[in-house]
Amino acid sequence: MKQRLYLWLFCLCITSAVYAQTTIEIRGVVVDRNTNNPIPGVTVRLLDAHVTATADERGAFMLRSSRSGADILMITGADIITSEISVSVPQQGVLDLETIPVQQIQAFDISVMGMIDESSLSLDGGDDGLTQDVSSSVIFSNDVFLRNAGFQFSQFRYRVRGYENRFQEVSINGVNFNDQIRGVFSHASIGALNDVTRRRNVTNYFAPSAYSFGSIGGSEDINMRAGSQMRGGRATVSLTNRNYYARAMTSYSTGMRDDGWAVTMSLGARYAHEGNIEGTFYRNIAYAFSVEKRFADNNHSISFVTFGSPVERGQASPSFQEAYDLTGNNLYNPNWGYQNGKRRNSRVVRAFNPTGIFSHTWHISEITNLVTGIGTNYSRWGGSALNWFNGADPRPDNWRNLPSNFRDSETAFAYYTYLWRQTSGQNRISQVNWDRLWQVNHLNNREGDGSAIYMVEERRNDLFETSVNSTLNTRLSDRVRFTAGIGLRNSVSKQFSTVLDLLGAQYLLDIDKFSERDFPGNHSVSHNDLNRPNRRVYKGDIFGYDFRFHVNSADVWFQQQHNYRRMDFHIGAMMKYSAIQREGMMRNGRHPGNSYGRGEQHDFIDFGMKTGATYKFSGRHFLTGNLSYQTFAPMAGQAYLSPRVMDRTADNLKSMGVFAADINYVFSMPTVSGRVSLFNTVFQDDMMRVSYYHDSERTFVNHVLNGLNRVHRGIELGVNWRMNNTWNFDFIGTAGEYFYSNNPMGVISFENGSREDLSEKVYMKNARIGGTPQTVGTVGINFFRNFWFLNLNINGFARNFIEIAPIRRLASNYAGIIPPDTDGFDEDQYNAYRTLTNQEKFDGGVTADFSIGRMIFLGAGNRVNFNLSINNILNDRNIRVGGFEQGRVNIDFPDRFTARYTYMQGINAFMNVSYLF
Amino acid sequence: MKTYIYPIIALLMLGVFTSCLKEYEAPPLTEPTYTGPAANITITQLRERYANVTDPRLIDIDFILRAVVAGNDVSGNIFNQLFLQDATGGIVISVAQSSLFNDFRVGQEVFINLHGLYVVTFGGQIQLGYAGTNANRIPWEVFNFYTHRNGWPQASRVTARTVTMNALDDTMMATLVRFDNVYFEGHGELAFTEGDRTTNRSLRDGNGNAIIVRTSNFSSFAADILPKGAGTVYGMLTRFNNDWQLVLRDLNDLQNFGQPIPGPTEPGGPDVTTYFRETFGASVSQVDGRWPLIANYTGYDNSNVRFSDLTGRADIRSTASISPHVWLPTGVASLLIEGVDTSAGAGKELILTYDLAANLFNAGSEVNFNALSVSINGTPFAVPSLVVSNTNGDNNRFYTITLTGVPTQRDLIIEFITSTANTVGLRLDNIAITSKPDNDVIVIRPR
Repeated sequence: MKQRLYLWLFCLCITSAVYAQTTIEIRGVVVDRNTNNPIPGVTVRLLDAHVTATADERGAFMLRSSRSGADILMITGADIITSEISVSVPQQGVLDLETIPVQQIQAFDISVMGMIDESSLSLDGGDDGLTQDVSSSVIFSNDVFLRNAGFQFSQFRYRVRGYENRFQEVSINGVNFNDQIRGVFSHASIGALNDVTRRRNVTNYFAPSAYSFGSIGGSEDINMRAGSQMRGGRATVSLTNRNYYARAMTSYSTGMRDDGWAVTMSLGARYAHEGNIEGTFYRNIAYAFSVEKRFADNNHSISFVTFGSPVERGQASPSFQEAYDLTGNNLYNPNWGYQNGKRRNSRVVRAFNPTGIFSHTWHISEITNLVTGIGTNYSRWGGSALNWFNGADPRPDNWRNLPSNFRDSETAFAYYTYLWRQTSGQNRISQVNWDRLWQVNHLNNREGDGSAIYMVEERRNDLFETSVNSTLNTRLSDRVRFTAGIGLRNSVSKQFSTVLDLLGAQYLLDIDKFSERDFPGNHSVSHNDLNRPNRRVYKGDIFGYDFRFHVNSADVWFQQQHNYRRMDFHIGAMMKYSAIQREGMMRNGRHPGNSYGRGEQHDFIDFGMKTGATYKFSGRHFLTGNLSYQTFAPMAGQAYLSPRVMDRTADNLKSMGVFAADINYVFSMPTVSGRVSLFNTVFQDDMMRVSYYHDSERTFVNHVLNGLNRVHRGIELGVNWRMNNTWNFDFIGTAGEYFYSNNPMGVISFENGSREDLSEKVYMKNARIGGTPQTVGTVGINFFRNFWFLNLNINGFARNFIEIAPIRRLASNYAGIIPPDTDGFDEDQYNAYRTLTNQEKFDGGVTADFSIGRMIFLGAGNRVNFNLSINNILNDRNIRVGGFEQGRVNIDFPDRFTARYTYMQGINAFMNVSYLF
Repeated sequence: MKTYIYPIIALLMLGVFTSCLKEYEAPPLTEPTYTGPAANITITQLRERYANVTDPRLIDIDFILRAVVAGNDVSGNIFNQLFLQDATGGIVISVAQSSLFNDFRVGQEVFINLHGLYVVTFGGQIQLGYAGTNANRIPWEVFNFYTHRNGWPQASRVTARTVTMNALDDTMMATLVRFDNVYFEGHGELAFTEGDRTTNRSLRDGNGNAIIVRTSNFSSFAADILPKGAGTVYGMLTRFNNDWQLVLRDLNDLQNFGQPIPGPTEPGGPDVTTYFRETFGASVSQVDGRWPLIANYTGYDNSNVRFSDLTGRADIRSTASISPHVWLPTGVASLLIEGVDTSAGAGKELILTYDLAANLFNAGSEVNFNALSVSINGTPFAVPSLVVSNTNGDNNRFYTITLTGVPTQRDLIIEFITSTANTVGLRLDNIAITSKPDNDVIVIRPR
């Protein structure tokens, strides 16, 4: 550790040689030819001088060259047709090219931008109900691969290089907004606020960035400052048949006024009384208000933005193939049922995370600026779920309710099959029978103790987070750019469960009824809170568990970019201190000694180093390579065994190490441009926490893996071929291998304490990382003429694997099973072992997407954008895009606890009409 | 400015409208009512009709049974079963569903269309079930198809029949029964279950009768300690082959415990005085896998007399249904009791009583009770002759033997000794010396 520290300090202390040389500045603003809107993020390159710059969020760029004379300025980007213009660079001074119009390929602004929506990108996760976001950040990238992959592959749940989302960093106005508990940015927090979040600075992968140290999966800064928003108004109406069917958004920006003030407002709403999947619904409004004041000759800017996007939505959950087959619907949703004749969803998310950010930008000098921001948000997240006490599992797709449970009785099997095939009527057994749940509680009021047998709880996962970031950008010389920053963060995660609906019961007794059975006679053990034993709880009360995670961190970092004629390189390093601590608000009866109050604080020192170099064969051909090593402290949500009930982490907590390397060939010829990359990333000593619901023990079983290694390696290809100004073609694809590379130790912890915590090696080696296709590609055909945009994409995907359940990969599960050709060999048992440990690979396939768009100019600066996108036009409803194994293992019935799958929606459309004024 | 204010207002209104949280109306709670055909068979008629069923037999007649739930799985002690009873008797119905009590409370009246269900047997008793399923349980939805609830449950609809342990018969099978003035063997010490498995405990009355109380380790009271003293016990009466068993529904089935342990109501009456009584304690456990020998046992009721065995072969043991007693293995073995004081009975006629049972487990085995002879102060007493046999169902059935003419003195010596005629093993229990009751003494009678 110490040696690493010294190394880091060494890096930090490197000072570069400072060159003093006359240079010429070349400036300009890249705009869309049709709309005159600036195009941020495009790459601007002076071919002979070998200098490159990236347009900022206002489309503006500045190049510095020491070479005068005739040269070619090339402008490339993922969504524009490459444009080359001849320039004559003067001997000295400034060459201002003013606005440079270019042609956008896909009418990005009207098609992609309008459709970006976290609800169409996000996936509902497992039992904790947390949404697993697919980051939109890559969609804003200037890289032809990332842009297309991010947009086109999100429907296959593609993750860039197979990385988890926490390796993509998102900041808003320079303030980091990846939360400290799960490490990810909540895209839902800016849902339906597309108009004010379209200004983004995107950094591809781990390239140097102007606003943060970055991350291996890329980073972006969303600029919501009022002065950066385009002047004017916009009203958008969208119709779709996905999670919701209608969306309306409107916004107005004053632009930066002469008096230095700018104001932006936005409102949005999304609605569906029932989404495409039965039983789901969607109700959301969103607001944003942003104000900015520039003063002191525009050298200072103070801005404030506040926004929020409260949502209430009914979720769909993945189910079993048997249920899909029986209902004839691969989008079958077990979460809902009829209550008094109306559809009711048991899993409803209610989320609201109001956010406020103060930001100060100080242009200290022509080449130096300092951006400081403080952001705070309170995220209220609640996911409802059925809970039951001394009652049978009410979820309709539980294995006891499926026909396969009655295979031995022909009549019972036939009757259950018949009942499952009833796809209409209010009492079908394929859905939750709410009326019965009410009646059971009613009977218990009459004849029993009146405590709820069935109820709806809301599992809350609130987060209060405050972050301060300060970032300095300057030039140490004409050829050396220096960026450095500090960050301070405080997070309090509040996790607890509340009574949402007692379903007619009088109260709920706050005990763990199952531990009552496991520790009979010892009645104190069953109390969830010994400080308040035998407590009766009512609607709104907290019960079951209640704890906090406190996470604090401080970081400091720098980056240095050196640009020379044949060679560019950059180095960077960071150091971070973080501390995590659990605080229990209840004294749990199973763990009276280590559940209440603040537990041990766990401190971590992490560091990171990155470097990269670009060799320029010519202005059109580059070879780049990047190397980085970074450590990450364990996430609170993964480090603790059963944080709901006790303060115990996995043994030997330590930071994960991530080593990433890639090598890329980038080319940009007049008609063909693109990139080919090889990458290899190794994760060492990662942690993983997987929770299973054990239906016979009636408890959550947590399995925490410590010291897990993973390898992500593969190749990426992105090529755009421009045939002429009307037709151009994209060829995008990646093939990778993402797999676990060792057999770590795991600890199994039963939340109700019915069994002792158990440590055992987990045989993970060479299992694939599931949940993302490891081979995926698309061919895009793009057409543009007379403000009509047409686009057809043919997508192919393969090698998508099921997410494995580590708990199935313990030797103790299969003790006593004998290999073939041995005395006592039992073929059934051996086959069960093979079935239970085999990782399923989903079928690959081909889909097609089509979109058409039109821009209509109404004069006086008003215009209408129209876009219709149709995905999966071949209407393939049998595409598995996700799935995970169940944790339970039953050697005698290896097919009893089968996997849950998620399917892609069949043909679906998104229509968007915007009016700009 | 004005042009965009309208969509903003419209959106605001939409927002306000949609932001109200979804609310759901409670469904009406309607009392279930059965409207189908009337009942046409009773439980006893059903039992008689299918008395000789062995393999699952389909009920192929439109029988409608009307019954009330008397026992369910409220504590987890009964599993996947409901006990139904009507005025004529009771029957178990097996259903593959947990927490059946949620829908079928005690006192719930049900009508069951039996046509399509099966009669199955378990432990020699018939039940309602299904063919081809795990443990012949009726799948839940199949059960719902045949079963209709009528009215709200009323626990008062179910009344327990008060019974005594020595007078149990088949009409009580699978019904709710009540035992008064009974106590658990090992009360206040043992738990209902031990070792994570279903456990049998003995419930006894004052006359030395016992019945098995069978408790599942999955019941909510599995690790609770057996209640102290005597009281009233309710439970579902079942029989597994020849053993009567009682299954508690929950701890409310134990009432009024803590009363004094009852003595025998016979043969003694109020005019009978007891001078010596030995029951060999409340519980005995094995040491290193062996039952304690007479000389080693410490749980005797009487600490002022000496117990010994000249042969060193007899021991003290118990079984699931028999409390601690003297085990006299085949061949010669003895129990010598020294220091019994009957002097307080001077001038009265005293009698010696003891309970004797034979281990007649093997088919065809038999023995004469006179294989055990008795002498007092070295004087042999005449013992009655009675041949007991497996064929007659005498396996472990206790008989009470009464001998007259017991002298009154300090330091009385009583010896029980078996001869080689003991070919099966005998169980000796409840040795007592009392005054002779007024009524005639029966020399030998079933306990």
